[in-house]
Amino acid sequence: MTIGPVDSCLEVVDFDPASLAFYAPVDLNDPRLLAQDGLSPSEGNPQFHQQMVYAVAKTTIGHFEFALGRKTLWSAHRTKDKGKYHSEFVDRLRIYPHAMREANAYYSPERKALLFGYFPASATESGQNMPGEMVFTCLSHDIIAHETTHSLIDGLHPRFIEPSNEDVLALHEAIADIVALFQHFAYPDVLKHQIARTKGDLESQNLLGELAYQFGQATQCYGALRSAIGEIDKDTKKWVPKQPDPTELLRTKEPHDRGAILVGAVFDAFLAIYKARIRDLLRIASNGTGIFPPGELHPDLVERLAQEASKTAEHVLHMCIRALDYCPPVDISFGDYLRALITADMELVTDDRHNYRLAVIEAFRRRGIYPQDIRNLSTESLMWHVPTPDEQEKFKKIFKSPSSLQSLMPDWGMESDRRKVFEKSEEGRRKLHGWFRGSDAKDAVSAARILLDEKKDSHYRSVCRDEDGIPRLEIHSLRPARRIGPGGQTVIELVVEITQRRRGYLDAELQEKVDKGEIDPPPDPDFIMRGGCTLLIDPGTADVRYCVYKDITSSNRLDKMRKFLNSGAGPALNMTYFGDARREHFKRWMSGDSDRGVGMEPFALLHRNNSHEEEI
Amino acid sequence: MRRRSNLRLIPPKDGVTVRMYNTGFGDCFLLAFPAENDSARYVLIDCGVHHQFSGGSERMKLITEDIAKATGNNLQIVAVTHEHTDHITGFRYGDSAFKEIEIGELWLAWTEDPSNTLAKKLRDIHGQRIRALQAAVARLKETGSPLAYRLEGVLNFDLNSDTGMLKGNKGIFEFLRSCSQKNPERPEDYRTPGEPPLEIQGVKGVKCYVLGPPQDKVLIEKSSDKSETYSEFKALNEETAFMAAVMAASGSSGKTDEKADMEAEKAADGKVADEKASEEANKKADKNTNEEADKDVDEEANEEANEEEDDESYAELFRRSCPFDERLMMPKEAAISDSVFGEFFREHYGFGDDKDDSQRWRRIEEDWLSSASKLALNINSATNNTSLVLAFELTYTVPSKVLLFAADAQVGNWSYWQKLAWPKEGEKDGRVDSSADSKVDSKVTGKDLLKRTVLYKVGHHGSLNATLREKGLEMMDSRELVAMIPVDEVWARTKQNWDHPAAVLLKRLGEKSRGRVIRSDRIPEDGHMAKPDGVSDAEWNAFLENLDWDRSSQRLWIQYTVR
Repeated sequence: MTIGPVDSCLEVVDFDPASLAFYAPVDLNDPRLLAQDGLSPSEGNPQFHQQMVYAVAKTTIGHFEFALGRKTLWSAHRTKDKGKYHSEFVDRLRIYPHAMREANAYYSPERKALLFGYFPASATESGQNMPGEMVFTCLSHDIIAHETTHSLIDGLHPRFIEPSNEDVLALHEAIADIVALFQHFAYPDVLKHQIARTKGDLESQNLLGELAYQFGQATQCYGALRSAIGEIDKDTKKWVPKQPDPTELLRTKEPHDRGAILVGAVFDAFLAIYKARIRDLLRIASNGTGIFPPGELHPDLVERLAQEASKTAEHVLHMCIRALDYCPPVDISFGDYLRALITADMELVTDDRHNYRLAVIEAFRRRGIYPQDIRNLSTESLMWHVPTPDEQEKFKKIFKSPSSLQSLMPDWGMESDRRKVFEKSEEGRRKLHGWFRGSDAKDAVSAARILLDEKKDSHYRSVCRDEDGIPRLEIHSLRPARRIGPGGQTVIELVVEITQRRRGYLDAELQEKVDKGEIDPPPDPDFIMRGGCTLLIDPGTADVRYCVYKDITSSNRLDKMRKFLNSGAGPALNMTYFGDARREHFKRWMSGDSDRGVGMEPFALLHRNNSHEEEI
Repeated sequence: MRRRSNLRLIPPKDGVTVRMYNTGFGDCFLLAFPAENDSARYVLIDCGVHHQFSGGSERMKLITEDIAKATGNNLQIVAVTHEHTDHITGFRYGDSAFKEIEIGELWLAWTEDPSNTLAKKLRDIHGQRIRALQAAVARLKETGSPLAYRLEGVLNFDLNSDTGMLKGNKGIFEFLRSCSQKNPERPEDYRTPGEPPLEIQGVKGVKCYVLGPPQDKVLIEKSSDKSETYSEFKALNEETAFMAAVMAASGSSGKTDEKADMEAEKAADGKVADEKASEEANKKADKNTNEEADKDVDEEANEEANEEEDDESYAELFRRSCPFDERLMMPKEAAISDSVFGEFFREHYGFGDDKDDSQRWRRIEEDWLSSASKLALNINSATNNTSLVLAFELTYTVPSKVLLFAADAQVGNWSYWQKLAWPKEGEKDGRVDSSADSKVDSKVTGKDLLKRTVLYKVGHHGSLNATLREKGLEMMDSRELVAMIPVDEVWARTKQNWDHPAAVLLKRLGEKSRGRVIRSDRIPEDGHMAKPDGVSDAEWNAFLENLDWDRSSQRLWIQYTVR
């Protein structure tokens, strides 16, 4: 680590363009700082701010790396040159702690940077602050963790910023909030005070919920954190948990509000698990009666309860992160995420001793979150599709032998060099692309719902094709995932993501004409529909263990997407004037204009929108 | 009863004809009321096209000529709702036509009144915001950001016009006053909500209620239920901190070394201004007294003094708005050449202007300017909320019908109407009418007017935040309801990316009005207007009876007669 701080994956650069000033970078290796464990908190010292953003971002990265069992990569810098796309390796996420004068902070996928704002507290809404006193978003643990999570998800799933249905952006927001919340809860000291305060009333769900509410309150920007779990009752001034309403999801469209429902579900699951985990402690401490005498709790009990709570928080946090490896590459929905959660957890912890999975399923069910296409909400039916023997045979044709598969695997552990991992993975992707386009694969790809037909009478002429009329495909991602084998040993699995794209038209009739090949060449599309799959492969046997697909030929999905993009610009005032961010996204993507220009940041808009809601 | 557009517009004896001009994107409404001896009196509400609408000025010329012919060069009342270009540019583009038109009265919102203290305060804040936004837009333009054009569109002031925004509008008012029969600058031009209902000279049975703009600073700022309100300019808050930074970055905060130059320039300007002013004063001498001319000069001098004062307070504000002690701030040049940290900044930020500079795509010099969109929305909402809102009540009908012209009013303006009430005639003089029915219905309220609305000029081109739901459209109960929307949806969506008209609102308007939604961008091409599903032939034909439109290829207008 050098001054900035700058290390192998982060660089803090403190430029404040609105104040026309650079601030000197902190040197955390300075012996004087080492001796006192870093700078002590001081709002008036920019170097403390630098240290703070660095430390929290680093912690968030640490949680991701622990949960995923590998080094994290940032999304590649994509450029277009002479009609060809290039992906450049991005070694470090840039952090600007004082990037703007606004009550906002965002991850910029374009700059691969986190931009934090600052602003003077206003006289009317200052809350705990003195009017005029400077509020720094880069000093909020939750905001830093939230924004860092956006960048980490983008590194893993660059298509998750594509608004192809109402859940995609909501999921981005929700996971960022979940990580911020549970990372905060993972510090036992934060919880102790609150637990001690409740005295005997430990069964009440309120204590931790109220704490979560307070975090949200302090960070202003995060609607999801504030409203997901409960609210202060206007009359009694007491915090009351929000009653889950399974129909709420159907009525809610705005990404933050939808995200809040998912956050609420995960938080409910956390509470259920926590309560189950402390049951024995409560029995012991109350001599089996479950009833506590009035007065303070024993400090030892407070200590143990706080530990259980923070351990549970950490488990839930890692469970939610690990699920990201089991997601479809495009067009994810909340239901898909639930399936990913269950499958990922099943893979890691076969024996569900603490009933984590049941708690999750129950909490999601109560909020109305479940996949559309399964029979019931049992663990078994929520698990992703396991290929049939017939499909397995087809996959064998593509992936050949275990040894050839293993040659694709980048050496991607905790100790690896990021650039080497990136390069090796690029090489693997090229190889794999060749396999999919090989003659053996022609019919076999149907197992992965990949379209490779070259027939002129195809019904899917809108699928983007190469010069020979064969649908293009992209090996979107190639990475290892970790699971625990039956004997307790760590087994590495290979995750392969394949995507294809299709020209989408808001006019359904035009779509049909293009699909039938009646208009050739096809006109410029209004949007891009994507399809593809995520395959989880056992490199030891070359078996595909799970296949998660989003069928490119699905007319159902295409209709849904069209409806979504046609559903108006949404209620936010910002969108009334600055356009429908959803359609904008596709326009920019198609123009290939990587330098989107100032003011087009997807997360900046998303966060800003939240403060302008309308009445009708 | 088809009339050609080159003929006078004569309403039937028992009806009021409302002609909506298709200006492109903008408001222009001509109301014709029946008067004695089969004659008519005319009220014009707004006359504008958005300044970014191409071909707008040519079209406005045709429209103003049509107004001149339709009214026989006589407008009893000209109401100007607010100062956005899409409501006023027609007065400038069509000035040759207006010069020939006799104007009886001008109706302007109280927010335009120079003698009103609250109005002056609002204008001051407004002017400061505009200047800051102008500076931000100028910087964004340099970077080629598409946001610059968007901001100008949202702002809806012609920032490029020679006259400059505020003076340009003042010019329009002055021009209109010179067309008016009476002396210019009369306090009675300014309309205040809640004042006794107005009458149109020579027209019987019509009362006009003024509903907005609210005389309440907080409501004016209110664009939506949840948006914040901002305090005084000199108080440090999110908005003023941003404004101060923009002004500092554009160099207009008056740095010490430039100050002398600036003052010299100002002095020179002042002289020219004085000369101009005295020239104008001479011209006006036949109309005005010299005293009044002096007042004009004073005013201009005052404005300049204000600007200078602003510069100083901006510089001071900027100092206060910087987050850290001055000693910790390193300007760019110092950062590049710093002996200890220079290398760090060169390597990790990079300063080269070369396109191939590998660091360039990660730099953030201009990103912070995108906060200007927040500022622009606040300005826009505040201006829309200063809209003059008029409700014409036809008292000869039972229950009396109301024509509601909401201009671009947003939440703050709308919610104010709920509280308004007018004593029944006679009561205000303390003479309570003793007849029985006046006790039952002793006053007219803003709510009544909404309930009885039969013609609704949809707020703000059909945007979502300019028609309230529960305290607005849902209260309009009349089975006769007709909605008129001046809008160009294609232009709004493709050129500006605006959600005008909003689909949700359009749907509900269609339901409430049983399909009788008249749009300026949907003037029938082929001589008929298709009947919507679920409406009987009889009902639809009755509507068509009262509908008419310009059959010329220009399709300048569409009109509806309320009987």
